[in-house]
Parts: sequence; structure tokens; C-alpha cells
Amino acid sequence: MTAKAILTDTTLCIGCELCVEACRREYKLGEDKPRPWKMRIDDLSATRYTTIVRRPGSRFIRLQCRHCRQPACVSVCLVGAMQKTPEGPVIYDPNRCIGCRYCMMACPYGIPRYDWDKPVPFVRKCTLCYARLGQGREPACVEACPTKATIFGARDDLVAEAHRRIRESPGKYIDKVVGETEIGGTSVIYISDIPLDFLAWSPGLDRTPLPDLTWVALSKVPPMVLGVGGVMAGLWWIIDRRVKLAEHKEPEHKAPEHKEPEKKT
Amino acid sequence: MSTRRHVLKTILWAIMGVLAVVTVVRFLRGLGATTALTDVTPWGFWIAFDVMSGVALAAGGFVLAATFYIFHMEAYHPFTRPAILTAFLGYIAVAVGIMYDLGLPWNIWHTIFFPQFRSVLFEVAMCVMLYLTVLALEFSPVILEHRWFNRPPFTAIYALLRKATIPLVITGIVLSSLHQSSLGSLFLIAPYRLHPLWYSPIIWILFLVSAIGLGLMMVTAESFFSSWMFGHRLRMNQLAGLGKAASVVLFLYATLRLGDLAVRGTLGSAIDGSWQGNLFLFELVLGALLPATLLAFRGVRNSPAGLAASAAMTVLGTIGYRFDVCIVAFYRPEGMSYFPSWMEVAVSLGIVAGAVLVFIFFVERLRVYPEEHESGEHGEEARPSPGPVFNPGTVRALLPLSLAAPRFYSIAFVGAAAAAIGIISGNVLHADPSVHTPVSAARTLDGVVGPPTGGHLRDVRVLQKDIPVPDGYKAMPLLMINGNRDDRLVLFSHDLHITKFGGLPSCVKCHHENLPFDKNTTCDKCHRDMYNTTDTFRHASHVAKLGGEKGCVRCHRDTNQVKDRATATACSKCHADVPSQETVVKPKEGTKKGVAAGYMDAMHGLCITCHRQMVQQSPKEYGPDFARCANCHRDFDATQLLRMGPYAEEARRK
Amino acid sequence: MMESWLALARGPIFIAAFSFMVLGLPRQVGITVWEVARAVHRAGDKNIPYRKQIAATIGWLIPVGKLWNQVLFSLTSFLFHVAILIVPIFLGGHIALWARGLGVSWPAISNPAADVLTIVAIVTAVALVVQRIASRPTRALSRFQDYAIPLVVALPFASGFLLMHPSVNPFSYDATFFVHVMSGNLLFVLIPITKLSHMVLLPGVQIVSEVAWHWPPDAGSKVAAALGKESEPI
Repeated sequence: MTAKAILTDTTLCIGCELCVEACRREYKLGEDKPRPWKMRIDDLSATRYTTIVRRPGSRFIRLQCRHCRQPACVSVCLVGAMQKTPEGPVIYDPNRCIGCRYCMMACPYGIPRYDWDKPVPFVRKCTLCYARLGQGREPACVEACPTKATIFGARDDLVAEAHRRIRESPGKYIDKVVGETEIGGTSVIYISDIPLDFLAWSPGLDRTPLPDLTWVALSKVPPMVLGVGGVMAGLWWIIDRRVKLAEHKEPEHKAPEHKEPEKKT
Repeated sequence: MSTRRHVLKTILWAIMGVLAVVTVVRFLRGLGATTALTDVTPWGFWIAFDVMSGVALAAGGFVLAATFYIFHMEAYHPFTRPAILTAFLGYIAVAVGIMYDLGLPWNIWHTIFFPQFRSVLFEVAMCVMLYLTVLALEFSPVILEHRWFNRPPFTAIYALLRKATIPLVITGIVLSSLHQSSLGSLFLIAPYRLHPLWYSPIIWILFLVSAIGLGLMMVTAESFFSSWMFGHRLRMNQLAGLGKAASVVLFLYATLRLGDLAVRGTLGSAIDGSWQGNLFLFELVLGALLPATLLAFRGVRNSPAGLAASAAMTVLGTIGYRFDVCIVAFYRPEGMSYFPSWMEVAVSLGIVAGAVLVFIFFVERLRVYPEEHESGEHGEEARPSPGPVFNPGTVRALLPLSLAAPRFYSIAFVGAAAAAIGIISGNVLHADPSVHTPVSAARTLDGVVGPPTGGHLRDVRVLQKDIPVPDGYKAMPLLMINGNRDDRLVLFSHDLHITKFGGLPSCVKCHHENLPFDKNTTCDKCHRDMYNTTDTFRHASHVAKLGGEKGCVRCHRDTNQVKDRATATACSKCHADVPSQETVVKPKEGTKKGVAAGYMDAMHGLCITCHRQMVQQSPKEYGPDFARCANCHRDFDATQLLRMGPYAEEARRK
Repeated sequence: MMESWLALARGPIFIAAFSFMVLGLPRQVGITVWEVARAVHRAGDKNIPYRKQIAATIGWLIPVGKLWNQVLFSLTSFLFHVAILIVPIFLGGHIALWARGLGVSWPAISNPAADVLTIVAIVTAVALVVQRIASRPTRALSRFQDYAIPLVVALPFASGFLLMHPSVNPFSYDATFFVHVMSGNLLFVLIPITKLSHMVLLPGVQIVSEVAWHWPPDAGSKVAAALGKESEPI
């Protein structure tokens, strides 16, 4: 299965929010309410998996899960509730989740949301309509878009299409396909005429996939087990032998030997 | 039992009472009702204190086990058992704390059945679980020494555990160094969210080293506690030795931290005067540099006051480090700051209180401190009784305590629990957790309105002083409807609407209810919250108007019924014109009397209802777009937004 | 101003006080059961006549039973208890509060009946205090709370009566209401920590006093030891 993706061309978006409504219908998300845990009522939330961010000058940018190619949320999940599918979507299994919210801490885009007001809460985010893809349908938001500002297809084709649009209208776009390479690339990519740095938690995302940063430390676990264990066992053996030898040699001097650490101080 | 311990236990039981109530609320109402956590601060006080700090504070166990068992420093033997007990209870407290923080704690067993070897948190979870087991095995000999277990199956287990001590200790040290460091590795995934003064590729080494330093100082702190609580003597020689070791470790930690910053070239941001830089310096000086320097002096090491101060600084500073990494130094959008709710603090305090109570329980009944029981074999019973066996004076002195103690503790528990229920009832159980979004009044500004184009849409602009009014456009005052001052404002022309509806008598179509002595009361006067309903009924002024107490029956006619809104006389019985009969929107049937809908709902309900009617009545003239969002919610260009500033949020941001 | 004080008294303070009673009464029962069990465990004579004690408890409950030798006190006490139990629970206004808060309700007594019972409660409460002062042996046994509690119990009834008849109430309605609610709250707090807890401990009182006379086996020698007379024959 080829990796699918969504390309959003922000110059075509008119901010009609039909995508938001389609998503709301598809997942029966209910009403948005102002809550202490979200900044604005139309922020991403447990009742809004995609939203439109307005920027000065009638610019509209659709926000949704970026479906990273090497997702931080998937790598940090300790029970595998977050999974990256070969088709592209990063999906969530509520039956596995234990609710630690590490995925929310790890996401460089700050996407996952939580059911803060429920006694049995789950993580909520866009799943790129994984179930619909299985039926050969497009994601609901893409289907609803009246201006084709957001389109769905194979990731490679869409990256090529993005570059083609930038090439064919020089000066219209900023020469950058957002999400092509940052942190290993994402499955939701943007082209735009304004800088989209504000979409990430802090600007200037590197190419290094985030899971690699963790792996540097995590790969040291087996050597650490052997190292610490070995050194401790060795130290114990050596010191124990020395203490026993000392006891054997001059049993009268047992007491001073034991008080040695005190004397040093 | 000393009065001091008695008072402490009473306070601890009171905290437990609050914990019990908050626990019920936490699991019935969810995290949103109990915590101040948000989508941008998913980890808060519970993770920073109960887990991050808790694990670090319990580091004394493996540090002391290594000192005594591996390095054979016999002088530290008396510290081993209390340190292992502290660690054991500390880790149980961590486990309990996690249960509160996890959204779905009943799924915790998934960790074992769905292992994810690329997840740091998985490694932490496994290490903590295994280390808890090791600690239980390390501590169980203390329990098995109780005379109750002095019988066949238990004596064999006891012997076996004593033999397994060294392998257990080594396993414990390995597991501890793994998860102490991995708690730091958890944050390696967030380079774009954690401030560079705290984000470090070697954060896991920093966590491990600072935990060892803190572990040494926690043993010291715990000695001070037991000398204060149980009157045990302070072993100054050994404590000074611990202090010396801590000095070395803390210096190492500070050097690593500063060296790491220097290598990465971020040292400058520590002294740039930003709050993060100052916080970093404060935390490093308080938690490492100052105590390390103090402890380097023999005089300080050998004085209880110097040791206690150093221990307190290390504990606070290292907890501060964990809090900074976990909460404070995390980037979050403006206006989304985090401060723990009182219930979060209550849970953490309650778990600590429980751990201290269990600690006191064990010390009172088991041989945790070897020195105290040198004269006897089996715990408390073997102590020589004070004074004569049975004299009336002793009875009077002992009876109130022995009988009153549970009465005291339980009344403290019940009283605190009841107070907590009262406080919670005020703000959680009955209130909606939604936030109040006050509505700002609509403002008038000068605008220009174009002629009707296709679909009856008109171009609406803000009047620019330096740009002449375009042809066919008319300058007129516009009402800027922007209740919550965001960028989705509507420019509304009063003039056009008045003309359309036939002059001033038509005001009532929209202004359906007026305040006393007012005409055409503006919308925001009653619809005072952007999204939630507002209670507009003023009981006090009605009481005053209707002649005080004698007037109750004017509205509350049936004295047998409870006096509330549902049973009171309808407003329209006296105020015939409330709401006006000619209004476009009438309140829905059965809605509460004297309650105004949210501003957005009220505006949408009024405008869209009417616009839809127009489209239905004359579709040709108005066209389908007339009732759609974009007909009223226009997007204005930057100069126009600037002109509206500071009333439009977007303009202010620029 | 008064309205917000009233809201505080009817809201958080009421809930805290009521919770204190709901949690405090089981605590009293638990402590009593525990102490009785311990006393029975340690008693030398473990034959406790439970059936007889239950019969005695019921005997004390009815006015023509054990108290018949003091007719006036017996009737006062009985009327007092009937009135203070029926009025708060079966008053229409109170039931409406239950219905609104928890969604439960039950039949109410009529308001005139409640008025009569309220006056009975106030009069008998005062009478109980007067009877206590009048009798010398009772006076000698009385503590401060024995005088204070009947009067504290009468307070919500008096203020409640004024609330139901605002036309004869010389005070402000809200202030009266505040006194009514707060005196009720005070009672809820006092119930588990004063002798008012007899409302749940009553079934155990007879057994407690019975068990108290069953001495531990070595009680005699301990008393002797305490008096320093171990060697002396009894």
C-alpha cells in the first residue's frame, strides 16, 4: 500500500469551515464549548479534530494531525495505543491506552487533545479517516472542501504536485513544501504564501526524526544493565574478599577496620 | 506516645480525609474537574511531584544499599533499614500517584502485555515495577522479624531472603540507575517544547547524578525527621560522611550541567536576565552549588544545623529541577499558563501523609531502627515499662491517649473530609466547568457600505481617512459586533436595517426586552456571556420594589411550595411586554425565567432566523448566500483591522 | 449582601455540615461497636443478656414504659422527639429542597400541622430545660451541653416558624433565613460530637452499660496492685 497524504494549499482556502463540519458529522463530535483547558472555543479540542486558523490578510490555514512519517507520539507510547499505518494515518486504539498523555507531551505540533471532562477519557485527534480509507473513500474533510484547497492522494504524487504549483506560479508561494522533510516528513503537507512556522510548537524544525533523539539514550540501556551490574558485583566481590582477608589476618583489629569511613571524614 | 507525634498524626489523618474526598471526585468527575491540566500542559503537579520528585526523593534506598552492602561501610548499617523503608514507601507513593494521574488507570497492566521497546516510558514503568518488587523483598525481612512470623514457613523464607540480599541489592542498583536516568530521557523527545537550558542530550545523566546527590541528602533529612519524631540520636560522624559524598556528587552534577551548556553554546542564555535564565541559576545554586560548597567545609558537615540546611536546599533545589523540566520550562502559548489546583496539591499531600503514617506505623511496631531495641528481642513489648506496673496516675495519663487517639484521628479525618466536600460542592459538583467569556459591547465606527450586488450582498468597509469614499458607496456609522474581541467580527449597519423594517417603530423586532428606564437596551446588557447563559433576574431589586418581606407572596403565591423560579409567577404576568410580542426571536417554550442565552447563540438566533426568512420569501432578490456565515462575517484586510484596533485581536497581535 | 451570605450558608456550609453528620455518625457507631466488642472480649463473664437489653431499649422508647413514674417529663420528652423528627423531614419546603438537590421526594404534612408541631417543639424544648433545672438530682448530674442543646435545637424551629409567617416576623426575611440555615448547620455539626449522637447510638446504650459491669478476669488483682495492697486478703 502506498503512503497516502493530504496536501493543503492555503492560498485556496476560503475559511468556510465545511471541513470542520464534515469532520464533526463523520465522528459525531458534538458541540464546541468554552473550557478552561483550551485557549479558544475554535481551538483543536476533543470535539474538534480539525480547525481553521485565521491569519491577517484573509489567510486561512487548516490545522489537523500531521501524521508524521516517524511520529513522536507512536514512539513514546508505552502500550502501542498509537500506531503508524503503512497507508499513512497515525491511528489511536482507545482500548490499549492507559491515559498517560505522554503522546501529548511529545508531539512537536501540539496536536493530540484529551477528554478532560470525562471520567473515562481518551486521546482525541485526527486519524486521517483511516476507516474511510479502508473503504476506498477520501477523508471527510477533503471530500467536503468546496475549493479543492485540501486534496488527498499518494504522498509522493502530492509532494510532486506541491513542487509543480510552486514552480508554475513563481512569487505566489513561499518556496517550501511544509512537512516534506521536517522531523522526517509528515503525511499532511502544506504550501502557502505566508510562513507557516507558527504551526509547530517552536519554529525551525530540524530534519532529525524525534524518535532518533530518544533512541540515543534508550540504546544505552543494555550496556548500562551489564555495566552497572558488573561493576557493582565486582566491587562487592573485591571488597568482601578484602574485608574477609583482613578479618582472617588480624581478628583483633576488626573494629578499627569497620570504622574506617568515619575516620576519613 | 509523645504529644508531638500525636499532633502530627492528627494532622496527617486530616489530610487523608481531604484525600479521600478528592479521590472520589477525581474518579467520578475526571481530570478536568480536579486538575488545572490543559491540552498544552498535559503533565502537571502530579507527574512533577509524585512521580519525578518522588522517585528522586526515594533514591536514598539504592544509594545507601550500595554504601552498606557493596562498599561494606558497616558504620552506615543503622541507616540502611530506614532508607530502604523510605524508598519502599516512596515508590508505593509514586505508584499510587500515577493511578490518580493516568486517565485510564485500570489499564495499567497493558504495560506488561503490550511491551513497546522503543518507548522510554515503557522502560521506566518496567523498572519501577521491578524495583518495587525488589524493595519489597529487601524490606520483608524486617516484617518477618516480628515475633508473629517466628514459625516454620516464615523462618525459611527469612533465611532465603537474607541469603539473596546481595543479588537483590545489585538488581536494585541496576534498576534504580536505569529508571532514575530514564525519567530524564523522557524529555529527549521534546526538543521543540522544552527550553534549551533544560533540554539536553545528556539530561538522563543529569537526572541520575542529581538523584544520587539527593538520595544522600534524603538519608540525612530522614535522620533529622526520626530524631525529631522518635527521639533517636543523630549519628553525626556518619551524617558528615554522607555530606562529604553529597558534596562531591553535587559538584559533579553542577559541573556536568554547566559543561553541557557550554558545549552546546547555550551558556549565554543562563545569564541573559530572562526569567528562564534566572530560574536556572536559582535552581542550580540552591539545589547544587550552595549545598555542595557548604558541605565541603568540615565545620558545616559536623554541625546539625549546617547539615539540615544543606539537606533542605538540595531537596528543594532538586525538586525544583524536576518541576522546571516537567512544567515550568515547557513552552506553552501565551495565556495558557498552568498553576496546580488545590485538589492536585491535596492529592499529593495526602499520598505523602499516607506514606508518613505507614512509616510511623512500621517504626512503632517493627525493628526499623536497630539501636532502639538493643535491650530486647521483639519490638515494643520488650521495652522496660516506665514506673510501677499499675498505678492510678499512670492509668489517667495513658487512658486518654490510648482511647482518645483513634477518636482524635477519626474526627480529624471526618472533619477535614466534610470541609472538603463543602468546598468542592461550591465549585465542582454543581458548577459547569466551562469558562466565563464576558461580552464586550458593540462599538460604533465609521464605515462605507456598497450597493447591493448579486444575491443582495453589499461590500462593507471601514472608512479610511486617506482614501475617498468609492463611487456608489455610502458613508454611514457601522456597529462592530465583536463580543469576545476576536477577529471574527461583524460590521452591522443599523441604518440599513431600520430603513428596511420601516423606521423607528421596528426597533422592537430585535430589541425585545428593555432594562427599566431604558429604550432599545443593547444586547450585551443581558447576554453577558459569549457562550453560556446569563441569569439576568435581580431578586433583590424585586424585593425592594414589592415592599420587602410583605411582597414575597406577589410572586411566590403558594406558600406550601418551595420558593423558587419554577413555582414563581411568570414575569409576563407583571411585565406584559417581556419579551415583546413583535420580536423576531421568542424565547423557547419552557426555558428558565429570567435567563438570557449566550451572546453568540442570541446573535445567530436573531440574525440568521430573519435572514433565512428573507431568503425563503424572496429567493430571487436575496439569493442563497444571504443566510450564510460569510454574508455577515467578512474578512477585513490588514489596514482595516488596524483601523479597528485595538478592538480587533488580530490587529493587536500585529 | 445578605443574599450571598445566605447562598453560602445554604450551599457549601450546609453541604459540609450535613456531610460531617453523615460521616460522623457511622464513626460514632463504629467506635462504640469496637469498644463494646473489646470490652466483651476482655470481660470475665461473657454472658450478656442481649434479648433483655433490646426489650429494655424499646421500653425506654415509649412514654408508657420505663418512664411512667415521671409522667410529665415522659410526655414532654416524647412530644419533643416526635415534633423535632417529623417537622424537618416532612415539611413541604424541605421536601422540595430534597427533590431539587437529589431528585427524591415523599409525602409532606400540611403547613398548619407543621405550625402546631413547631410550636410543640419549641415549648417542649424550653420545658425540658426547665424540668432539668427544677429537679435537684438531675441538676447535679447535668453538664453545660445538657442545658444548651435543647435550646440550640429550638433555634431552627423558632426561626423556621418566623419564615413561614413573614407577616408576623419583625426581622428581615433573609436574616431570619440565615439564622434558620446556620442553626440547622450547627445542629448537623453538633450531632456526631455531642450527646445528640444518641440518635444512632440509642440501640447500643443498654448494652454498653450492661457490658461495663462485666469486669475483666484479673480486674480485682489489678485494682489491688494499683492500691498497693496485693498481699492483703480481700
